Amino acid sequence: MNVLEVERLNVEVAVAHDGPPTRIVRDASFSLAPGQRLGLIGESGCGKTTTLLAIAGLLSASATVGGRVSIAGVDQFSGIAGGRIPALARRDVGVVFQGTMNALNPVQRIGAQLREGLRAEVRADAQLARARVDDLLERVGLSPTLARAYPHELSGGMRQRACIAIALAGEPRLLLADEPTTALDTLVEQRIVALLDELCRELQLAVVLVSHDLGLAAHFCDEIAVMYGGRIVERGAAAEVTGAPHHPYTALLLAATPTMTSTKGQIVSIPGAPPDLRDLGSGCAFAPRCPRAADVCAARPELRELDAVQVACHRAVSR
Amino acid sequence: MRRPSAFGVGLTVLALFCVAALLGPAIAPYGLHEQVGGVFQPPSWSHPLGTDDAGRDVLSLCIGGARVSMVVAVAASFVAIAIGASIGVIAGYSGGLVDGVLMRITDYFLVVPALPLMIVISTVWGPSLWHVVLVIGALLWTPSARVLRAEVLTVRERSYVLRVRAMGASRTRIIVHHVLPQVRALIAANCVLTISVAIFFESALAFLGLESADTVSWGTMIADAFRRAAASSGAWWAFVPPGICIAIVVLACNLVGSAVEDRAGTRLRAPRLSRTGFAVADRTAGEDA
Repeated sequence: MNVLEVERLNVEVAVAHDGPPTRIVRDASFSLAPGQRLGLIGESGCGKTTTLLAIAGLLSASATVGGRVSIAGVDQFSGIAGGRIPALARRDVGVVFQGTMNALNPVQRIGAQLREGLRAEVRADAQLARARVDDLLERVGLSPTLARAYPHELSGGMRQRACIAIALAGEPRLLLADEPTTALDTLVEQRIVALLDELCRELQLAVVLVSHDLGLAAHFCDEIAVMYGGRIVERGAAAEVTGAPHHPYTALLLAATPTMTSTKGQIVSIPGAPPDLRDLGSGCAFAPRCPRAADVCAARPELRELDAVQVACHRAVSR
Repeated sequence: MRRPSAFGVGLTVLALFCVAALLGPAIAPYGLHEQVGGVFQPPSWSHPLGTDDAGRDVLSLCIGGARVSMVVAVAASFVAIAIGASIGVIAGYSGGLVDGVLMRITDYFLVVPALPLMIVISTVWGPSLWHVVLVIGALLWTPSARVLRAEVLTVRERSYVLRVRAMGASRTRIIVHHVLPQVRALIAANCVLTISVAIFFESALAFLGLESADTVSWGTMIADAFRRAAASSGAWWAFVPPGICIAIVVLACNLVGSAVEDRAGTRLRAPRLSRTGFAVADRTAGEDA
């Protein structure tokens, strides 16, 4: 059974009180088997974080969610504002956010915050809970003595490790990670990614990773979904998508990613600006910025199978 | 080192007044209702602050009056903070309709001129200390509700609150464990600051005769002195000491309150770590130029 199934997920948010709702996520569909990892990639404002929040049931009441999300076989909501997740399914989900000071409660000790995430039956037994907290801290490479520390006493990398430990405290089957390494420097980022990789393999966790770092996603995930203007425009195995992109946007995104070994002096940038989600028009959202745009792009492309991937582009050709 | 010292001075002064309020009659040199000298006797060795219009010792009255004034002010401030903090936190955390309704109610209370309404209510309810406490408390909660709502609005958007919500924590749990601890310093600061306002209103009500006649507070002392024309007969010692007491307590409360607020501000200010993305050489801009 799939851990996560997302089918035609739509999220609309009323930005102004009187204005029409803006559709942030359009018809996103994907599913994850245990241990499978999906990377959601795209520019700021393309809807990747909103997709994640919708899955986690964390959208505010001003958002309307449509479509179907089921976690471990439990249907999460059906068009309810904000989307309330039944408590039973909650424990199958762990979330990790960008690791700043705000990801942890600054006036609570790390241990207390870890204990809070434990399953009720574990938390009820003080001795078991303590052992579990120590174990969790050790698992993420922190000393158990840090259970008594406050978040400000930890470094950025240690804080992110603590956040991961908290996310794992409830023994989830699905991990939702939103830019988990963005606030860290490259070396720490590498270690955190290695840690996540190891833990997810060990626990057979399904992961949705939201990032704008294509390199990180390609390295960490099995599958990559590239989002643009609220839609998934290309989806497929990480190697396929990053190795031989079919969608012009993915190709440009790859070209714009600096690599350690690149000898080019300049980084290619994609001309133009991300689309205005309030006014996307009826055609392909990327067409105005696309070097390969043609007349057919006035009609909206649907995701279609091409080679080993799914791509939403009229101009994409098999290779 | 200036802020801690302001805090220390304020706290010491408040502590002294609290001791006076608690011990009251035990440390006062004379009884509260005892005639111990002539009318409006100037300060002397036996009566350091002179005597009032009934020949009572002003120093004893100041010490005894501290009890009523402080108790009323502190109790009223607790009432005000209990109402204000609940409304502010609930409104800030809930948002939407609940926030709108609670804040509109707050708006109404905010624009009502407090003192006239207090006068009306205490007149209707009749003179009693507890009425004064309730009236002051019921009208002084608005600023704390506003301040706390604003702070809670920022707290509830922090990602650890999101994270805890994702784990399925109930609203009550989040408020008690993750929101209130963030704002408790603010609540403390507001509480102390409200005491200073409450003590002022208490004196005003007492001055207007809306406290029962046989209670002795700093406000009733000034009222008595005023009615018996102490000022025109040159008996400044009948009204200046209680006035100074009020001023000192208000000042001390403000020192403590703002020091607490400042400290909370620095301690709770989260470091904003953000990594700016790599700079992208904008080729289109170059071509345009």
